[in-house]
Amino acid sequence: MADISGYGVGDNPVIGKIFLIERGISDSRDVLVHLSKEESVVKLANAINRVASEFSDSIKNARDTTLREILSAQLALITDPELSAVINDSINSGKSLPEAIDAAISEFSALLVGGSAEFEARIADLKEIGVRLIDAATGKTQNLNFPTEGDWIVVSNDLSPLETSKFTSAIKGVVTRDGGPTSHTAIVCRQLRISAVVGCGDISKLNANETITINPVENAVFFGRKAIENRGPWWINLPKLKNPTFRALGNVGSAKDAELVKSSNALGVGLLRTELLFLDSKVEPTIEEQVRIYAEVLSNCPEGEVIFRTLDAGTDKPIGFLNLGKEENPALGVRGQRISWVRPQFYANQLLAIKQVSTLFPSQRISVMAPMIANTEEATAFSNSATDLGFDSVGIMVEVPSIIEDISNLPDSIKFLSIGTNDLSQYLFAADRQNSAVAHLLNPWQPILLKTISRICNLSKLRGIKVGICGEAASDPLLAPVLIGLGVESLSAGAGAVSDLVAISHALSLTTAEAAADLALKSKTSIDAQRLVRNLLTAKI
Amino acid sequence: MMEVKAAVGLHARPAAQFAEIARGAGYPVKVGRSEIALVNAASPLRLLTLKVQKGESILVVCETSDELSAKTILDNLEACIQN
Repeated sequence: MADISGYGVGDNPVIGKIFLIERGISDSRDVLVHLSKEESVVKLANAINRVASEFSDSIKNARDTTLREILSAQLALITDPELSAVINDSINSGKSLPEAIDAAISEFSALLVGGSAEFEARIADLKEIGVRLIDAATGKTQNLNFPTEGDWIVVSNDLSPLETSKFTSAIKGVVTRDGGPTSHTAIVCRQLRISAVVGCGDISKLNANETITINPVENAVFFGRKAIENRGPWWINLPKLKNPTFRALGNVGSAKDAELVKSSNALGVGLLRTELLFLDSKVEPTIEEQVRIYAEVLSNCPEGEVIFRTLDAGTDKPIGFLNLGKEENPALGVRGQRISWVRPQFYANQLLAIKQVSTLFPSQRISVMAPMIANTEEATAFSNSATDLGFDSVGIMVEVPSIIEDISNLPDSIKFLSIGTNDLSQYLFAADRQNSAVAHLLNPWQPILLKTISRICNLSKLRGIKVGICGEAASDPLLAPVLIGLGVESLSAGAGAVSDLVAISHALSLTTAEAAADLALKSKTSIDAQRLVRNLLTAKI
Repeated sequence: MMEVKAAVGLHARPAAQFAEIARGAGYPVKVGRSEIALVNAASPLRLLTLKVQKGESILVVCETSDELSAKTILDNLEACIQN
């Protein structure tokens, strides 16, 4: 059991000594209280300049683009003329400099309350700017010198981007009291490949210079040194099978993705996202333009099956030329194949363009599938329009739960299903993909999602329909065996994850896959499912 | 009116870019949901306090008689909130 639990970021366990960052109210603010109005105004201007140049230096030295962008956005707030104007107004109305800074920060913070999580998160940025301005006005520089030797784990209530920008190579891990999976700290640690456990709630038992072990995979912090085996990926020492247990495919949204998928030795493309090719188009591309764009991508794709998904857009995934307007609830609105109700000509043209390009690439087997199909009526309409054009491999996506109970009624022309696990989870659990407060329900290890996938596979088997997965779940190397054990025939992962998937397909035995699926289906929680399957797979090494 | 398409709305990074473009105009540029509630577009802080979400439309007013310059500024502002 973990001594402290939070939200883990990264894959690697880390052991190190605690570098504690303690924060209190700036003790030197008293010296600023007795300044005259004029002196306060000058001090403020100097403090802003000093903090701004500190940020500029950090931006120059930042190791990573994401961090640079976050720091630049904060610098823009510090130098915002409206901030100094509001502080100066308070000074002129008789407040001392620290009071005036506090008042301005509170005023702007209050205006940010009630927005989405992204806006509320900026309140923490503003508070840190307030503290830094008061420190700078008293002449204090930010005195944060991280050690340059040894293995250290930074422990703090939270970390500002400015602080993370000063990390040295001796910083191996991070533990914070506050923050969640989308906090600055989590994002920066993910980019810098530093293991972290954030949002631990209580870190008062962690003292400076003591040794701790953190294991982000278990979301855990342990006192002292704890041996955690990290023997590399579970399949690394398994014998290589001659024939793969399943088809490892890649998701493609550009010619570059296609190249990467091909060089990873994927057996094909399980999802070609046509919408990504049109995001910048202001006018509807003609059939000839579409043929040209698809040909460019196809010429970089591996030989084998390439599944084109018809345009998957919506008011939450806007495509300029469709002019879809605004909906109260875009995830439940006219989205995916439903757009063919309002723009039938675009869909007819798109299928025609895909058919034309397929004749130019005889070594690839071109399939088409439609997103967001809710019932047999919609599936039949799509498969009729595709088979009329001569497509013999036609499928639909399974994202809307209602289609599952209609699988036995699907027309014979539907040859395959492709499960989009992200949207399927969103609709199954009534959990908005954009809302981090419900993110735990969208964990692909949720046993209910796995039971649903199992039911899809069983119903499809009775009809001789193949099932693949092209959602996020396919990219998790621990989950892949479970999905195959449930009866899935192909997995299609994002371009960066394909090479692991290919390796797994040559290491995983069907027996292990079935055992993994059995364990996961019997679990009561997503954490149990993941733990049991990890134990099973690592025991095989 | 222009629609905000950036994934998280007019949030930290897009707001900073938006303000920089507005500041470069050389005349006041104001932004808001309606004519009666406009803020200084050159202020990233004021932009954040609008809490504009993705998919919302915002009104941008250039206080100048130079139509050509206003059009360029509006085009640039629109481009910066596309993604």
